[in-house]
Amino acid sequence: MPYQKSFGVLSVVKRGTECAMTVVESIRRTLALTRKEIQTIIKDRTAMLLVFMLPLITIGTLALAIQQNDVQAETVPLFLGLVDLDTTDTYPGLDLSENFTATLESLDGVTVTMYVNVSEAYEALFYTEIDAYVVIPDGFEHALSLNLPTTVNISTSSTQLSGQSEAILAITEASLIFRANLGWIRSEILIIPSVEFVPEGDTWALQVGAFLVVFCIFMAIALISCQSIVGDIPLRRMLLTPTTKVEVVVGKIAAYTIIGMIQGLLLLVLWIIGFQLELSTDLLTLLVINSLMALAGSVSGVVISSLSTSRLQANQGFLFLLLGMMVLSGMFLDVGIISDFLPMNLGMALIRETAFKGLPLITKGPEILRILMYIMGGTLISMIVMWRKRTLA
Amino acid sequence: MEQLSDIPVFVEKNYFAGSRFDDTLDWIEQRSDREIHAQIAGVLCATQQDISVEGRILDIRRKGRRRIALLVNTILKGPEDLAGMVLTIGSDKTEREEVSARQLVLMNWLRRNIHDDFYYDGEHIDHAVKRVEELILYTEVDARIWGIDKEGQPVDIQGTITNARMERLRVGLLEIRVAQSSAAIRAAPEVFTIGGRETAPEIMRELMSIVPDVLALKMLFTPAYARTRDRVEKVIEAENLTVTVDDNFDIIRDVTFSLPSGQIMGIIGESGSGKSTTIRAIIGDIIPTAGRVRLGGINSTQRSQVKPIFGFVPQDLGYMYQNFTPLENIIEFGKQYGIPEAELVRRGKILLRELGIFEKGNQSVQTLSGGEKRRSSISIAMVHRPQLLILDEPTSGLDPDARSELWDYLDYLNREYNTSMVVVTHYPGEGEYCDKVGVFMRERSMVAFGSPSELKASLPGGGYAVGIILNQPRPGIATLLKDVPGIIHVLERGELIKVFSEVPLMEMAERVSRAFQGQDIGVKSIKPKIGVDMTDYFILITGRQLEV
Repeated sequence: MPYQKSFGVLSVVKRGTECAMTVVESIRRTLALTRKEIQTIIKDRTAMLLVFMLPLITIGTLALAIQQNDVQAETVPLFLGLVDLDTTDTYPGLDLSENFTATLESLDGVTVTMYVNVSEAYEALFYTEIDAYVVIPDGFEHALSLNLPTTVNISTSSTQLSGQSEAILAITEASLIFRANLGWIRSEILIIPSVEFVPEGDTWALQVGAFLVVFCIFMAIALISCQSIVGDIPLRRMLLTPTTKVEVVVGKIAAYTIIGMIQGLLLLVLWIIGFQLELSTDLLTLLVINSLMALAGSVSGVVISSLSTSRLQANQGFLFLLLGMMVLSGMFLDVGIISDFLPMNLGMALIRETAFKGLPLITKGPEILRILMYIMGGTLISMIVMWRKRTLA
Repeated sequence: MEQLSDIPVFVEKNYFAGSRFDDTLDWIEQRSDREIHAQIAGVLCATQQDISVEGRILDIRRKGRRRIALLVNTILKGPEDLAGMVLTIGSDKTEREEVSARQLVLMNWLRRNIHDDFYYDGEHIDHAVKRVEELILYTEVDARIWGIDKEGQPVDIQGTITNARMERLRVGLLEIRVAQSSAAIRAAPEVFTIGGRETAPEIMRELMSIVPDVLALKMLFTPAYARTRDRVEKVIEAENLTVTVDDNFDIIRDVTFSLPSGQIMGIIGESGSGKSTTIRAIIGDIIPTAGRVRLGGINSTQRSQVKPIFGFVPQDLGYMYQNFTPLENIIEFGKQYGIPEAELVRRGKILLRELGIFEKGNQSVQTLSGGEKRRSSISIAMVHRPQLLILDEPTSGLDPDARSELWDYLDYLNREYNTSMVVVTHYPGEGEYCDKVGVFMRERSMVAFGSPSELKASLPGGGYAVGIILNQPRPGIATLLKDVPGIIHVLERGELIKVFSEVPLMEMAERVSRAFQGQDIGVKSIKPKIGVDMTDYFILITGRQLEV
């Protein structure tokens, strides 16, 4: 029995040692695999370059956007319309509504344009001649002279997201200065903001939905098409048939655009029906914008795919596109002139201008032209890169 | 146009008298998928002139009008302008057809009829229109029409079909952009309308606003994808082919060879010896630094013209769409040649059946075994019926049985489709399956080219050697035999030792036998004359052993 006992202890010790050895061996194998994986990545020099370029480019893009934003804030004035409806004259020696207007005009970077009536100011806002308009109501002076609270209405456009907050900030600042200058005013000047050109439906769903529709169409198609060439192994064999490289690029772009259009149609339907929106444009206009976004997304993906020599590089390239487009989308900060050239920003502008304001698409020729130039440029780059690629043999 | 010199060595031949015309038609119909040629002696019904012509049979009709449509290649007797024409042949009693046949010699060329041209009589223009209507959606269709113009004059026009449509009451109408026409209508408009023979102008006028420019009597159509089918004597002609890389290093240097149509060429060589570079130069993927290659008679630098001539089977089985079925792969690759989908399905099914994977035709490629994938890959490369099939190490990774089976398939395709082949292989022994073999060596390009028997005959002993079979392998036996006078090479392959010499082999065998006397070597037998195979040849010529 003692033998058996000691044998049992030995057996347990042996089993424990074996178990520990198994774990150690497993760790060793895992480490070897990790090392191999790192070596694989290191050997792909382009991929390695991109690993370090990614943060640089992302931060660089952000810096560029911020710089644009600063430039915008410093140099581009805020255009405000003003409608003075106040007819009361109860404060001797001073027209308070005129004084309020002068205070507003004195603000840095604010340019005030006077309008006779609200409809004129509304029209100016519609055609983006102004960023917002302020209406000083009748009885403004009367209420202030009696130390009663009064209101100032400010109307912004749903299609100019950055303009909304800047206009409200400006009017708030003017109100504070106005009251401080006069000293005796104890009553409040309530600022009542309103957003124009908002179709029927949930405002949040409208604003964010428009962004998501464009973003999803563009990015989803770019995501799948960025593997279209680098991931298509039999393509090299296909190039030994009478197919030309130009046909390959065009074929790929067309195929992913069609997928994008179908996906976009589904998104649009879900957006409109799901949130019970009544947009100010027809379905055909939305489909044209949808197609342009699908085409731009498809071209972006195909460019990445043709430039990449491995799937890893294509994934990294897509990440660049995703982060870059997100930062520069204009949803988070004003990126100034960049917004006029990026297809996704242009697509969002097209959606807002047509679906919110009800502008016909034909009036947005320059924006459409810029998207088409992006598409043509991308296609050309893909073709040049493909032209240099080898066939299978 | 086929020449008489193209006639294969083995044909099935049969003789018929013009009076046995029904038997003739039966014979042809029983071989409907074969390429049938005929030598016909008879009389031109219009002029009663004796003729004797040779050509390929395009079509037969057995009901009502009984006739053979023959594309004439060679005039043995009669007017020279019949060459290239389609003649309708009837029995010795016929007055309706162009030729009343006295004697018909039919030849089954024992291979699949891969010609895509098709013939219709003018009276069946509605059938032609239906077929052409579908075809022109995918590809250009060339046509040659023999008929009569509005003045009743005979015309012969060639061009491209621009439109095919059925008018009211199912009257077919073709429009053809004329490239070449007979003198009578040379001044006519560029695009002709073609009506049927049986449709008189008066009826056409009543039925529709257009009166056809030509009433067709005979119509021969050739789809664009069949344009490259013209055979040449030598499918590959490489002259002083040299490819140099940046640092003045010649990957291949002065490679010269030619491959007659219908033959199989094996390329044997070590890695880095220039095999792939030669293939790339052949198909025009790289431009040679010096020399030139003609593929199917076309300079291979004209890539767009050369591409339909060859099919390529890569070594890597990943070059197929893995989640597609073999048939779907065939269709997707085949469409790039402008072949209609229905035709691709038809051809694809035939190929899959011939390659023994018909049952797998609807499974995704990724579920197939290695051998099945390889055969799928071959069927993809064969679907456009190339003149030349290039296979890059098709047997690598296969066991000996599977390799032998694959070679049987390649041999079958070679015979059935008359497809020339270039097979790159690491197994010198596979050179035995080939008509020609090119041997490549690193830094020396192609060191030998010829038929296996020619190459083997070039060795000492004229393709034979003295064979010594040992009881067990004995390394270093060559050292023992090196002092035996007359021995040029000793080749050790396990228990088998081959001794090469210019001395008569019987005498050499005796000398070897004497050399073994007193040595502690177990010799099972000594054979004075055994054959040399391509593996022996490769080892001897290169001094290296690839695969034994």
